[in-house]
Amino acid sequence: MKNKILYIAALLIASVPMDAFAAGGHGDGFPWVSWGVSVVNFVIFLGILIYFAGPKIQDHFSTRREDMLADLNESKRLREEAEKKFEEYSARLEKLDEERKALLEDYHEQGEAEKERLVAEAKKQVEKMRADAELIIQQEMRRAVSAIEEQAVDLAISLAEKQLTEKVDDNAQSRIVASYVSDLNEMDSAPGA
Amino acid sequence: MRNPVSKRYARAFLELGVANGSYSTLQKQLREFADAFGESRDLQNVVLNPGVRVDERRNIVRAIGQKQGWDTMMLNLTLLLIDKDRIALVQDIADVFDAMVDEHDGNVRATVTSARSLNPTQVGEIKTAIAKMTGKNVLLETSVDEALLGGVVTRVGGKVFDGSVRTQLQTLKDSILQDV
Repeated sequence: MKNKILYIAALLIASVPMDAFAAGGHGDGFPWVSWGVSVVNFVIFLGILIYFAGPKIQDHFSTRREDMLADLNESKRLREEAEKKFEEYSARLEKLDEERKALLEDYHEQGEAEKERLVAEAKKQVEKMRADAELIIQQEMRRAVSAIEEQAVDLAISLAEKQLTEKVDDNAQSRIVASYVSDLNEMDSAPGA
Repeated sequence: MRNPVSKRYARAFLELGVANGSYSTLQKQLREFADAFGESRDLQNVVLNPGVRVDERRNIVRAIGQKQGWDTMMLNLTLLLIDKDRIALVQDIADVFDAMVDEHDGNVRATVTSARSLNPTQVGEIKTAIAKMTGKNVLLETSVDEALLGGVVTRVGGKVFDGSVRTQLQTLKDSILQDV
């Protein structure tokens, strides 16, 4: 690890442009001393940093990798679970859809059966009402015909009565009484009558 | 429908009258009193009134009997009816008694109703025919009802021999209505 840090420090030193070195050695040239001090300071700072924070940074990055791996695994597991759930819910949805279809068909069949029953019932009622109506009509007709017949007979009888009142005189009455007596004589004796 | 009590009183009264040979007199007196009782509201008010003492009611009936010259048995019957509080049955008893006397004498009562008055010959013929039919002596009453139109209706006891034109017309009407 320390080698790695020294390697980085060397890279930093080497990355300084060559013209900067070229400027040193003259009054207005590159300030080598100042630059060297800065480099030393930087190296010291780097050393301090590596010394104190290195393990922690190292821990940080190594833990982070594991965490990321764990997170990735967790994500994978969650994803699988989610997919599983998704499949499960999809299956359930599919099943629900089938159930819905079955229920709808069942309701439809029941509705059709109920409709047929209601129609049959209505037809039956209509037939009964028609039969009742016909019966009532026939009864009313019979009653009306009977009433007319009775009126006609009443009229005929009242006319006959009028005729008889005029025509039954003493002679007619005598003939009727003679016939009546004859009928009485022809009757069998009824003891205790 | 006759009251059974009336029948019992009438039967006993007839038996006593037959035994005494006075049932015809008793019949006449009982009929007169029953008719008077039915017609007179005053007489009913007195003999049926519970407010009048029994001995007073007996005195009133006894006074009527004496005035009418009732047989002792007739007087005793009416007093008994007062005592037993059965005097209200006197008309019914008289009717039953009449029927029992007729039965005893071999009589039968008949009423003849005709559209026109019957002459004596016709009445006699009808009477003879009923006598032949019943085998009894016929006590005949006649009446006229022009509504019969023609013919005769005779009632003997509970039987009716209907030979009226009115009934024949009704029969004709019924048969026509039955046929149509």
